[in-house]
Amino acid sequence: MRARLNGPTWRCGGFAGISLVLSLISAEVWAQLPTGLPAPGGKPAGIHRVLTADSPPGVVGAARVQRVGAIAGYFQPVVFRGPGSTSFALAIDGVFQPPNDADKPLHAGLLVGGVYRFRITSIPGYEGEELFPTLELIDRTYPPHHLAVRHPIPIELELDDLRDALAGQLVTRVIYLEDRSSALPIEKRPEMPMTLDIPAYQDPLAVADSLGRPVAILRIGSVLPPTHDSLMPQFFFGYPAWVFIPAEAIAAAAAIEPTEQPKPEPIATQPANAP
Amino acid sequence: MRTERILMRRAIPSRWLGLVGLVAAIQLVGCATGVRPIVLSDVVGKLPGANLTTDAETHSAPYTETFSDSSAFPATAASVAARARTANPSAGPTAVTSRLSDGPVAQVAYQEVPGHCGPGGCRLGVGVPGIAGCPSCVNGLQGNGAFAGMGGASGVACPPGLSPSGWPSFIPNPQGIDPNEFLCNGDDAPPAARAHVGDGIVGVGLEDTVARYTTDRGAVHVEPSNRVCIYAPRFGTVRRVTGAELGELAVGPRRVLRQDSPIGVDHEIPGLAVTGRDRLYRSDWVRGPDAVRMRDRGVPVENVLQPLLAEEVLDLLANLSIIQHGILEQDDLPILERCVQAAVVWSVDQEVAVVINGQTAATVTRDQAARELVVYEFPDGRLRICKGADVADGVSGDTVTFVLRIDNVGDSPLRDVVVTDNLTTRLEYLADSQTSSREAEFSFAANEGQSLRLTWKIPGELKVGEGATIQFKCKVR
Repeated sequence: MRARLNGPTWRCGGFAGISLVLSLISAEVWAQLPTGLPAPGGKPAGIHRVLTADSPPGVVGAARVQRVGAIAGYFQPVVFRGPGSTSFALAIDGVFQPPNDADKPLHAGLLVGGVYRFRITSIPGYEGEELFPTLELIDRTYPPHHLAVRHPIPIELELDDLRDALAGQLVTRVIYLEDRSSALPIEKRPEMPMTLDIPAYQDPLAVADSLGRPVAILRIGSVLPPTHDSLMPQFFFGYPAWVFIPAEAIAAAAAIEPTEQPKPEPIATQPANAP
Repeated sequence: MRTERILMRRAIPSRWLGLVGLVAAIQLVGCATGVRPIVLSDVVGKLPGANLTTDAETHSAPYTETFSDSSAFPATAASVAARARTANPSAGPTAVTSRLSDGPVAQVAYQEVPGHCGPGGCRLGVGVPGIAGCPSCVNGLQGNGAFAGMGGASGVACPPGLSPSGWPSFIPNPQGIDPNEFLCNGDDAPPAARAHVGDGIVGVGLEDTVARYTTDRGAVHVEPSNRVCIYAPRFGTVRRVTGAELGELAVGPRRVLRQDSPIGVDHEIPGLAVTGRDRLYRSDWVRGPDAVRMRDRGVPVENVLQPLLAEEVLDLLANLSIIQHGILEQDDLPILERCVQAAVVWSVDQEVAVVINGQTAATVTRDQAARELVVYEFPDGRLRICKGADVADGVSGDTVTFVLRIDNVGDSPLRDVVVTDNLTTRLEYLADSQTSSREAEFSFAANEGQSLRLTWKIPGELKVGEGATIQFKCKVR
């Protein structure tokens, strides 16, 4: 499947109308479909992606909301994790809330399409430093009712990310849902996120799309809050709504089973003969 | 047992059409109102357009709702029993239920239920009464106040049986399900597993669980298990670091790539699209005459058949005295009786004739003629294999216990029973965790998914009604 870049056929005679419709559809939809063989340099052959991780924050998520799906209004549970004593804080009306405890990750429900500015403090080895990354949620998960809170999207940061951001670099992380048919045969631990480092000339969104379904884009830079109040809405990307998920709710979700069935009596079993 | 079933031609009277239409309408309404459960395989990305503003299960449902309908999703022991009955129509429901309830075969994890509302056929967003009947829940952020945070509206509790999103509570997720968020095991995905030389089985892919057995007559069969799915999504991250010191080097190739790509696409796509449409139009014109000829063929066939039958009957009756002279003679009675019987057969006609072991079991006389012959062959032995898991979801590091239950539900003993479970990539078999209620030779080998393929060989015969339970544990990677 190929995507068309521009509406190129205004001057192409009788097919101009059809080509215009195709171009309008393909620009947003076809570009998100599975890609072909990757070309050298990480760019799929013959495909130009309209949406990349280099797009301004909010563009990719807004495009996802415009497509078909029960996306609008859905608060996707996410969990923020960082190295050691790192704390996270989301903002309400431009005011950052108290950070979470170091031993309790921050759970929250975020809107797909929203760009959330949050604050990182208590960075191990960099106490007193603050970072203000953005998280753009570009897709959601589809869990059964009782499992949404138990399986949030993990927003995991490593110390290298924070160190690079404090050094003035821009770290872009694209979180994706792994394709089970191409899953890596390794055990994933909460304190050790599965991270694939790519060079600067590659698009992390395209790479993540080839590995699974991208769900969030995390951008960690060195931007600080503006000093003038009129710039605060721009800094917070319009104050998108979010919901806080308390620890009690998470504990309650972990205790509920989908069906309460009586435990059957164990069957007398015996180990089978080894070869 | 061999049963031959002959289905006779049946023309559907007009009054039956109304009944069929009514049944179809009832089924359609049943799907649209969510009476049937969502199936795992066919709702990926099929999202109801009428539910775009719902806040779904995010606020209260994730940890407050339970499944009230045991016959729906997720599968329970009852659903496994129903599936088992489907696999073996001859087995009674009582026997199946009792067999399942006496062991840990009870299905806890999710099971794929084929044959229900498919994509496009049943759009759950159409005509669901819960949407319009629960507006406060649709717009509210806190169904029961469990969440607290910014933007929360004053939610009102939903009527009983409805979730905060307005959907009936027994529908697990009306928005859709992504298979990649599940960790599945069981069943036999294409290519189908086949018996190989010796006691081998080929075509067992990742996630497949099959059993091979030999019947009393020597026939070798391969039977797949049901499919067990656990909700265990796993996320990865792609990281890129860019900075000022890398900017000059990175900007150069970026500009080149962005300029080259659109030029190539612009020149190629329009020509390909136009060429493709022209070929399709030509194909349509070619198919037209074929369809017309097909319709023409049917007309003379029906017209020819009827005169042939009439001529045969007239030939037989032509020499009878009652036909020639109008006098019924004693010598003509046997012939006349035979012809009358033939006339009954061909004009009144038979509907269904069932032949079992060469003997006619039943003959139903109707006003139609024979149409086709269907032969059903039941195997002389049959093995049922059910699979279950003890948890419905898991994260990396969790331990899942799988249970395999095999039963001889046929009418003859089975031998050379081999059960194979090919674990998927994200399942790691825990050493020495397998047990079997029956003597079995266990072995394992590495598979293509860098996991293990587990095999149990059950020696001896598995007599009618006998079964075995196999348990093993895996760790979610």
